[in-house]
Amino acid sequence: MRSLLTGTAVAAALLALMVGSATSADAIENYNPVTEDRLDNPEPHNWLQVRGNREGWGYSPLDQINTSNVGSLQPAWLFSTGVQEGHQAPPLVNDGVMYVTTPMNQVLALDAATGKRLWRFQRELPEDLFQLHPTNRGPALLGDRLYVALTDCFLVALDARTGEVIWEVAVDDYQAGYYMTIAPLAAKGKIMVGVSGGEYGIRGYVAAYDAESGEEAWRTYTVPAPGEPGSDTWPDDDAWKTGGGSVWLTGNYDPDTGLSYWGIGNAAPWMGDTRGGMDNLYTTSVIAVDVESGALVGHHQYHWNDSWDWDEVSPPLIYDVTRDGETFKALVNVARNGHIYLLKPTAEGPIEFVDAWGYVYSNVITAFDPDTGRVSYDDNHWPGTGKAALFCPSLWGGKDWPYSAYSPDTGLLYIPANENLCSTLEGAEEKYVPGELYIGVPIPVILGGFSLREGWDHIGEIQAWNVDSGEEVWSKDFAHQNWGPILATGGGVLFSGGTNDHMFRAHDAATGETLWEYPTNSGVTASPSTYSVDGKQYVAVQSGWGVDAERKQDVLRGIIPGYDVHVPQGGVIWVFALP
Amino acid sequence: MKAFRPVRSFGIRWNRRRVMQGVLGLGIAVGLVSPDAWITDADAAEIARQRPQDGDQLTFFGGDRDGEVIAPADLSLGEQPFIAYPRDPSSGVIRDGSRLNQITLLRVDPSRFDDRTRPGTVDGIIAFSATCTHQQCPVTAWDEQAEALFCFCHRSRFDPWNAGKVVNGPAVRKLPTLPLRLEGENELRIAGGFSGRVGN
Repeated sequence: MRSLLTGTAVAAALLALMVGSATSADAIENYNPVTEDRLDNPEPHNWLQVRGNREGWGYSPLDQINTSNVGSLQPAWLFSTGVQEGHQAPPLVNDGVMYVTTPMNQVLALDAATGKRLWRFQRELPEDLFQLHPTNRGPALLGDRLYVALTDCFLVALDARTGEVIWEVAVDDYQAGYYMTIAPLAAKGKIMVGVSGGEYGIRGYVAAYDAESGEEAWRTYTVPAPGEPGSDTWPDDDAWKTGGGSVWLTGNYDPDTGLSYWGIGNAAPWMGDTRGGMDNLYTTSVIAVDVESGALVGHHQYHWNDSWDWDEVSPPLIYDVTRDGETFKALVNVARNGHIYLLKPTAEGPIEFVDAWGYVYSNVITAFDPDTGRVSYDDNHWPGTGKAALFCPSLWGGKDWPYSAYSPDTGLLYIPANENLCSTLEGAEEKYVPGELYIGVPIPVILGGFSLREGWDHIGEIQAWNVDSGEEVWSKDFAHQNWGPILATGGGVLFSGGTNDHMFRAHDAATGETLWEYPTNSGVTASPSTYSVDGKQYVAVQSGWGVDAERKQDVLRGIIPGYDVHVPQGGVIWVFALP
Repeated sequence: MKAFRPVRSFGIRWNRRRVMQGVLGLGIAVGLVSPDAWITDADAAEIARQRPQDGDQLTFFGGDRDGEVIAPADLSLGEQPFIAYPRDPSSGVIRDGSRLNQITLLRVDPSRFDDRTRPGTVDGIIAFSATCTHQQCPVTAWDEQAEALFCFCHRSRFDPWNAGKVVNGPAVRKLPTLPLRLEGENELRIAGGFSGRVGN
């Protein structure tokens, strides 16, 4: 076993080696190694990466389960994860072997057809760790290994056949507020992760590790140091050292250019005037990072000087879009700030702005510069230190982390959206203490700062958009929130949960009509996946409510008179199939 | 394992202890205190890791008064709670070697305490573990509407008048209390250990 550790974390890691362990029933025989060619050209019967392909579509061409028969879908098997909090990871499947990550640093390997446990890994959490986001968004598979990024900020390589630890590395110090919820990106022999901690005043980055040895290959900060490109967008003080810029979600990747695209979170602390009222690159941006070198070769900032906690967490989806008779490879992002962005990447890295438009009500962004995409703000809805302002969408945005999907069959972009909820924030001075919350807005202000728009009649939505034309094709409403990542399939079906009524649903991708729903144990905020074993198609998803869905549920209980719905916690892996 | 959180590692603590040692040294010189008040860094680290002890003082954590000893007059009815760390009065070491030692202090209406909660309070001042029993986030706020202690991370609420009972989840276990007493007429002291397991 190799262990590559940074300075002060050595002792902690050695302890962890003793407590992080796998329990194995049977080693997996004849394991099919996951080559990069397989990741670049995924087989329909497998789900090898969190969104199914490099481009982030959340799409499977499988069509055995389709609009004509999905109504008879029923559970094939279930498996209890044994832990609470927000289950968000999609089950990955490689030739009949399923890998699932859960909260509390756990990885499960199961027989994808039967649910039989093959091995289980769990790394004990440090005694003094506090988890703002007790979740995990999935593993990465490469070769005969599985890679998982953990909330105590360790990256661990496991033997995919046995669950045994091969190497582990302390990416950063959890006691300084760094943690990870991200599913790693595997490309060009590297395992890439991003760190979170924008509510603790971290300085964010994407880091790459050699998949074989665990040695760090490069580290690219999302907040530049003085003298680095972009540093002129920060004040001439120490704000950059605590500037935030978390990386929550796996970057999407273009194998043709070797460039990866990452969504970068909010700047810290929340109020923009604490950061000089300046742009604060590369927070709330997409960045293009060369996988080979780690060079940051392009970016587009969705909105500058974030003051709304609008982490732009989502990496853009990569697919061909036609505008004005020209078809080009596009970056399409559904931003938390309430707008859809159409961007044009270049092989060299720079990202061009093409178009942007709103998909939920927004009272903050008033205009886009047609050439650069730079936004203008309505000052009345721009909070600051000592300045209260109401803004829509709320700090959770029009869409938070739950993934959008793209179907090449319908040509539509599908968005799990939230409408009609707004926030009021007012900042106050706060002293930075490493490892402690560093938000710059008093907690009672955040607590009491939510409101619904007058005349609201729903909150959650699934929207379908034609990005070629910029038109919404259909929209489906849910009474309350929607925290459900979307899976699109070749059967013309969208699978998604996200609501507080326990339901996991199938919708017609062409019309939005609900074709099937099933009440699970808890709420489904995880990303679904689909695969087939011996010619039989399955749809898999974890049900396990928690984290921001639970926070928002509490908010709704506070602001909707008489509303008192609680969603039970506890994770279960559900696998559905036709009879 | 690291002995200290990096924030208050040797720089701050060493300086603070040095100040105390300087005071003690002066005291020794004039015969006011005994020489055994001198401690090594290793001793200080051990003291800083220990859980709150009977007789400990309470000190502010963060803000302008970081490290200062808290007096009853520093707590007012209707104000937001704040985070404190215990302080060993004999060595002067603040017990911040583990964030599990963080304490939430607040003053509430004393007439509403139930019988089991009242004995460890001082004129409405009550102390809790600041470590949420759900995911160990700091419980730092007061929810005026719910009249409860509030955890920002996942919005659990705890009843201060009923020994930290859960008002609503996702926490399922009460927030441990820490008994307080007065030393003399006006010194706030800790009167024992936490009432239950700290954290989750």
